[in-house]
Amino acid sequence: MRDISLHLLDILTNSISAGATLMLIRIQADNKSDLLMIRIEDNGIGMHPDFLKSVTDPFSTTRTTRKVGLGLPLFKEACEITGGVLAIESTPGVGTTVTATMGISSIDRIPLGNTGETLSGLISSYPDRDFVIVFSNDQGEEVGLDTMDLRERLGDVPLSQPDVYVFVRDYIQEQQQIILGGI
Amino acid sequence: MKSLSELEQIKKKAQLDMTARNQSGKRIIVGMATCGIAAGARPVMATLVEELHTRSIADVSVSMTGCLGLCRLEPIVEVIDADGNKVTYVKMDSNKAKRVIAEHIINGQVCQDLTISPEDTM
Repeated sequence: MRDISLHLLDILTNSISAGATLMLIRIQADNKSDLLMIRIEDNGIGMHPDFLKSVTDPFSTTRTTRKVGLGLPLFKEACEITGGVLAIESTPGVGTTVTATMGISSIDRIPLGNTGETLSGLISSYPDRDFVIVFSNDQGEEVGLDTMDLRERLGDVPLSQPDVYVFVRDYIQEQQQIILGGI
Repeated sequence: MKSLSELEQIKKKAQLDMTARNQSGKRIIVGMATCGIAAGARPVMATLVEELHTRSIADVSVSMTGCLGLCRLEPIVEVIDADGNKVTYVKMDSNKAKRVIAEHIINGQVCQDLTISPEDTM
């Protein structure tokens, strides 16, 4: 994957497949401790402890169309190469939380990329699910977007409208730039 | 700087579009599993939505799906009409996505050269 926002898209499609109706995404940069944290929390069906143990094994997947599952193993590799870690907590019936950390200044760290395009694509494809994205930095600045708020503002206009897609994409990308700069 | 208050205008415009539009029933689906994402499916989807937005086409939906089982032909885009007839485009990119909107969605001409060819199946 070329950037973190593509991993984010991949992990969030796992949440969707797990039937999640609410996904909370937090992206936090702490330059003092040189850590970038990406956390994805969902309320999907969760994973059984046995499957959880093997979930970062590339030959482990729930799919029937192919025998490999590369999403989490690739994300784990992208974290570890920068000195970071990927942690997954999951409780069947409650949900799953994926927490990734990366060394901000590591030469091997891929850029954050366009989280606006990731989120707008998901929101327009799954207009009945809710997504909350929050960006924060070590100056205590915090901004984000919540689809429950969008839905309230848009009334009967569905979140899958192309105009909404373009707005959401540009809005989130602008928030990312303001809070995290060119990370 | 963008503001959430812009949504008010989007809402007004979309409500007008919804009453005026003619339902074509066409759907576009983009494969967005790990294989599709790594092959560049996200910019393909972005281009499809952006082209519909630019051309004010409000009656065609674009959405993502999982792995279609043909990972080596990703990014894959399916166009499904109101009768359920499906055209599968393979090895897509942003320029090809623009062609699909102009030629297939608007003019109703399938881009034959972008569909699965006999050598793709070997």
